[in-house]
Amino acid sequence: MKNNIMTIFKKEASRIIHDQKLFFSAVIMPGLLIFVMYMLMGNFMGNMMASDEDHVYQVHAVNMPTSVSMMLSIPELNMEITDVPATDAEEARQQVADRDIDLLIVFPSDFDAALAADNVPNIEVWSNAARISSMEARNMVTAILDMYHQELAGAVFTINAPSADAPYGHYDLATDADIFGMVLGFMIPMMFLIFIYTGCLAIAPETISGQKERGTLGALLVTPAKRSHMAIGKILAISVFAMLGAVGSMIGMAFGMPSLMGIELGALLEFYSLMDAALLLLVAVSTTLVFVGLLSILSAYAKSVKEATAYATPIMLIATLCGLASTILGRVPAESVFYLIPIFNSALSISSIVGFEVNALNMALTAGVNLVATMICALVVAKMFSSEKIVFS
Amino acid sequence: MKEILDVRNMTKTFRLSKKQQQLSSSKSPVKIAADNVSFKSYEGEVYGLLGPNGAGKTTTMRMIATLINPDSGDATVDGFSAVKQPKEIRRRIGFLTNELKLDQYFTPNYLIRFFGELHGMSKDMIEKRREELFSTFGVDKFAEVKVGNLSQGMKQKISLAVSIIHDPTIVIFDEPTNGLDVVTSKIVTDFLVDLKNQGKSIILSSHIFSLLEGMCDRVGIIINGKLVANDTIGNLAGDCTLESKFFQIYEETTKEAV
Repeated sequence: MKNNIMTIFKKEASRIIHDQKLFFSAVIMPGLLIFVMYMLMGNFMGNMMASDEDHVYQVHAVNMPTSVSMMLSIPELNMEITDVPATDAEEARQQVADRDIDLLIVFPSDFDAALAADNVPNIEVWSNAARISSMEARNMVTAILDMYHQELAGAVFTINAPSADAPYGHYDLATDADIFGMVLGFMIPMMFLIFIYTGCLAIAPETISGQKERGTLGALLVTPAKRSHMAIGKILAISVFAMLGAVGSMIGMAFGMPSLMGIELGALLEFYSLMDAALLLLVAVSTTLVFVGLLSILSAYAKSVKEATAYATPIMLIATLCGLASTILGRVPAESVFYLIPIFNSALSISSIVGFEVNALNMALTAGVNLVATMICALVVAKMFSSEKIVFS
Repeated sequence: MKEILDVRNMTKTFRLSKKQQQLSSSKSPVKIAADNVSFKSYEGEVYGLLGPNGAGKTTTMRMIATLINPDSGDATVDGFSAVKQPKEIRRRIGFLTNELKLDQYFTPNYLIRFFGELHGMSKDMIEKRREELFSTFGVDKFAEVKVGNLSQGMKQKISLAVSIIHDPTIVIFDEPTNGLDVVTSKIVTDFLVDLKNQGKSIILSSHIFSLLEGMCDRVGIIINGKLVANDTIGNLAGDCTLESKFFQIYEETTKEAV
């Protein structure tokens, strides 16, 4: 009778393989969706954030002293300074508001005299936060004006001035990989969990509730096959295809991530090793199993696929919340106790892998806890298959 | 004659939801679906369970088929207890009802092999039996067509073949012609006659008098969960038809005129 697990498994697997819609939505779609989503997000963010290196900042200035004008005219800044009379200031401000030009700098007419008289003249730098180039120009101009201010006042000390260690005044010790990991650590877990869940949701209700609904489960129950074998056979089949969906999600992620981050595919390999990919796969597989287990219980309880899908919504919300775990906590915790909670541990583990903070014990805990949770779910489903209230509800 | 089925004091109750209580105009939250039901059936005999809808026929059949457990009492099939040895019983029974369906995504060949394997049959045995049954039912040509694409009659034939793939000791049919058109119903009744001619033990529940009258050696009448009559058709009906005797018993039991 041991073969009955295999018999049930083969039948369910065959059912999924030969149902093109089911196979597509469970195995192909999650990966494809991740890829397309990342591509679209990457393009969107790229358009938002990318600074055009050839962009010439259009800066209009009123009463700008020659000394400042010279500082802003160095070629590296790519600024085209246009002096405008004070009477046109209002019009220039409107141009900034209309995003026709980047910046308007208004100096008082008696700027030099005010300085000499120890008055405190005010310089107005008008920008438009809705235009990236305007914000960039504002940052550059205020930084230069700040330097000019220090020069005039006789600086007591400077902060992050260019030096041999930081020729460009960048004193940030984070490597590209660190920044890359931090950004991904916040973004990836939620989407990853949701897409894995989508794959599981496509198969589990159909394989269990669908058979209850169509009356085909009853035909199985009058055979001498053990209820537990039926449950295990079904869960195994669902798991295998859901895991294929998870692998698909990883492939989709690997190909979509470079677009998302605006880097080449090869650069991704510089940041992550094969070991990272293997760990990610381990977490993906163990998470898939937990999802399959939970959805199998709900599907066994539900009277129809529709009902099972409705019951599954809260798990989707939990998965989404868990996916935001590291964002909510503001860090990826190293304390092992966090890794004893199924799904939550998956989100933290994914964050830690992409954020280069892998802890072997926590990885092992995640895989182990998720496996135990799945086994408990399988036992519950087997028990449910033995309950006439469930089977003939 | 060898006793093949012994149903002893089987009782089954179900809890009713508020909605179910309203629908059945019942004040009690509990429905006694089978109330101390006892009867026997012998090898080669066709035993019929007759009763109106909701009388407890399906519950009794399901308890015998080990799909549901009795609250009290037991049934033995070929000496095996439904309560203690359900697996042994499932090996020995063929159970057919319109509520249990075949997966429409598979071909008859696949399904018959699948159910054969679940019954623990060897590949050779399955093949031999498959050829035999498909030829009897005339479904060879459709063996590789998905069940979902077959006609209603052909589907029913496949269901019949699947239910007896393991050559069961006793065949249980719960309302086998319910919801079927006349042509498909005839396929089922012809199959029952064939099984009877082969000397198979059959338990059949129905509310079609002609079917029971033509097929059964003995009949049990079940009303409101209680087996109120249990005898050969000749002894039970006497000079009347089974139909008129049934309504006479029904009126006496329920005190309701029909």
